[in-house]
Amino acid sequence: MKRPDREWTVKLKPRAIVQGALLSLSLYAVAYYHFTNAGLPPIPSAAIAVFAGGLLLFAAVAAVATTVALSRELGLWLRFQIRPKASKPPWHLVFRFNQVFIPRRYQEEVTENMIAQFHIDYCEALADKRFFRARLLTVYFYFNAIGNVFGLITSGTLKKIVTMWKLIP
Amino acid sequence: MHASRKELVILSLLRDGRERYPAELARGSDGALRESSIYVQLVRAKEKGFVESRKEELPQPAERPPRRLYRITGAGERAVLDAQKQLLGLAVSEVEQ
Repeated sequence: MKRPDREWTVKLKPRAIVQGALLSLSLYAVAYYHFTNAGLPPIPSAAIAVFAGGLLLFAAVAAVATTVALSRELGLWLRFQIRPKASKPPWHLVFRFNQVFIPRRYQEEVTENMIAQFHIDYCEALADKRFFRARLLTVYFYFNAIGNVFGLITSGTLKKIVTMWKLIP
Repeated sequence: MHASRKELVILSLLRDGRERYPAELARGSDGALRESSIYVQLVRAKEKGFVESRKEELPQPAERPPRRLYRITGAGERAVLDAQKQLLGLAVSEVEQ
């Protein structure tokens, strides 16, 4: 069972797009706040309309792209569930998931390790003719991806929030 | 550098000097480490300098990405020793009280 290289060398475009959108949104908010509070002329309504239109267009394109990607993944996943031996394990979704949710500095190592380990477990299950286990592993794989993100949130951000909260007198 | 509880579990498992895969560590930890979070914990421990890693060598063409093998460093050893000393200190002070 061969898997093309591109599957584990996919670059981080979705994450960059989300970050770019958030950055432009925050820049816009800062600029808007600054101009309206400093008594300078507010941003013309035409500029706001253009920005809002752009944002809407971006949201629409993102929604369509996400729906298409998810349906494709779901299709692959269902095909795999029906015929596990004949089809390729649908690992792609975890790539997408990690690209969006896992910080870049963890991404490569976490994704590579996860896919390699699951590939081994999956091949073992198939070799032992344990098809149900092979099917179950794909579900477990997705849970694992979610677990990694939760692990990051709970051990990182949440801990910082709790520490800051405790510091408030 | 201070090691977290999970990092200490990882370091204790690596103290015999053998290189291990993440899943091997999770499965050998009696439930103290989960496979769903071990990867992130290992990257963090690596950033702190407690462990180092190398990619496993696979015959070419490889059918899967290589796993990483992790090994404890000197800083990792010191972190475990510090934690042990701290625990010992706590125990002594409790006995003294």
